[in-house]
Amino acid sequence: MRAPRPESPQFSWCGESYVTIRLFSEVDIWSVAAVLRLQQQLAESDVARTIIAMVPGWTTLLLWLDADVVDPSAVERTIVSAVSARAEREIEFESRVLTLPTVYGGEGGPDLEFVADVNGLSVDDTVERLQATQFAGMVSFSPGMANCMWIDSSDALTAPKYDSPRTTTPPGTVGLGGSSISLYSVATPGGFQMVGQLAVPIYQPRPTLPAFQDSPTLLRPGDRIVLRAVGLDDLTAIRKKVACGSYRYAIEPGSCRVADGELTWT
Amino acid sequence: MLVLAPGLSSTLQDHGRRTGLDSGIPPGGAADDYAYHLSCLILGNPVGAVAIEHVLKGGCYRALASVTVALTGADMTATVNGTSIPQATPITLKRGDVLETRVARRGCFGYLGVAAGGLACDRIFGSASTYLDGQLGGLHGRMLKAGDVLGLDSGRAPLAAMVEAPDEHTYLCCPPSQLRFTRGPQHEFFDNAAYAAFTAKPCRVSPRSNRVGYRIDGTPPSVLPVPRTKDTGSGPTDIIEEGNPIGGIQIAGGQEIICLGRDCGTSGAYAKIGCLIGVDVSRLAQLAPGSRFRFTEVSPSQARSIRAEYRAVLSEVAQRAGLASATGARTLPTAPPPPSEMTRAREE
Repeated sequence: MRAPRPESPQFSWCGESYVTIRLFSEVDIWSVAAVLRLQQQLAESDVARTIIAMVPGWTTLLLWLDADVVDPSAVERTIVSAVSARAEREIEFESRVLTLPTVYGGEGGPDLEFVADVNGLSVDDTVERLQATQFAGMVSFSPGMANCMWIDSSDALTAPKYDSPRTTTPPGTVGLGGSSISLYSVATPGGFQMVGQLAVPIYQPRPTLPAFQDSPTLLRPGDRIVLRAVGLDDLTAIRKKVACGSYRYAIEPGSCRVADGELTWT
Repeated sequence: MLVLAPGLSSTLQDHGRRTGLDSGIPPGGAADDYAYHLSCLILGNPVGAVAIEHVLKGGCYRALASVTVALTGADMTATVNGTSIPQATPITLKRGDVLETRVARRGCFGYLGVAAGGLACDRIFGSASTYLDGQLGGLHGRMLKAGDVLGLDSGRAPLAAMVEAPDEHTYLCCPPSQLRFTRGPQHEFFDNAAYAAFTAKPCRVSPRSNRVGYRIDGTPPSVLPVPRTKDTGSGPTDIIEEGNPIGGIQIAGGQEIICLGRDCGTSGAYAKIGCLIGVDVSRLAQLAPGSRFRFTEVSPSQARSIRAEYRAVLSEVAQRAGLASATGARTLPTAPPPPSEMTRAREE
């Protein structure tokens, strides 16, 4: 997979504490990898001490800066040089692989058949594609909510979004809108097609499972996610383990290396 | 303190989180950050001390032991055992005293700070700020309710002597007649005529406002046609999803004006015509529903000098309280953890 030609970063400053850095005008796995890479470069740069927080988007990185000490031109210079080094400098960001048991269709996934129809596939083939590895580019909007895209775009499905928005979407819903998958963590309004339901939580503000001891959110930007189909028998066993606090998530360490315009997943 | 009546949507708040934003957790923190900071200074507390935030209507509390408190922000006509007490002044309650704060007669968000280090509660990502949608922080992630008992945070020693600051309080917490913003991040959606129209007419704060966002009743600006990509929705102000700045002025569906509050979604896909300056994110919190104001455009350098003025006022109070290091705007104990520590906190 070759990287597209880099675009020069666009800066949009607002308020006295924020700058949105736009790296690409279209979303794909390269734009997301470029954003995560820039985030890591800035965390290691001289201007890091003036950055309070960073929020990766599909094509943008939002910086929240300490307005009392920030030097906007130094920030811009650092970003321009970090981005221009893209082709030369090898960089690796963490990319764990998490396998999350998912029940497709039924009550938690009422739109599965509609999505199969829209994509001209059988329900079985649709579920097969939904289980292909996803890349969580953004963990955003609500706590621990992951917004993912297919790593191999030939597996990608599409579905209309926001046609008839719901006032609430149950936590754990797997939603498809456009060509991205959202994993809902808390009840929020939503306009994605509901294709399934996670059998395990991805957000625990008061942890009962060991995976949430250090953070109430499970997923991080850069993670790879496999939404593995489980049947109702498995579901009962998994739910029991979650309820008694003994469920162990399948999490493999891994990384994504960006070098010479190639993405390598390990 | 025992909560006898909790008010409408009363929560425990502090200066907010600096980590968690890339996990979808908004920064939170007191809606009026200046009123909160001032309450810390008045009580000699370090910034980070936990205070009660009242919205539109105060609560009623009984002191279970002797305790000193201070009220800042919205004026909620406070009394102790029925006798009026002033704002922005340390008030000592004896065991059994009843403190009552009522419907706000001026402003919207009020703070009840407690001396000797503030209140004890859940902390996550370095903050006790309650985030209701995420059921996080504060008292089990929820609003206060009658019967709750609030104890003191023994881990936070006071830093300085207590002071009164009524004049500074008037300066910092008075409801504004204008809200200042800078252009961006999607200024390319709006031409100069749209900015002129946006700032020409008065607006009102809608009753459908809360810590997540403030809906504004006003004339939405006209929007230029913008190129679509496969990842934008079909609405006139739909953009590719990106991080949200606090104070961002979103034009939802090309029609609805929403100022993003401290508990807003960390990302969004509507164009933002501008972003309120930091000071006015706090001042917006003192506009009760129905209040009229105008949006006024300022430059980023004007935004920085307004910020410096406000910091200087806080600094003066800090100096009066005898904070040894209080000599300039950077001396308040508000420093966020260094980025290395932020990263480490996430990894752990």
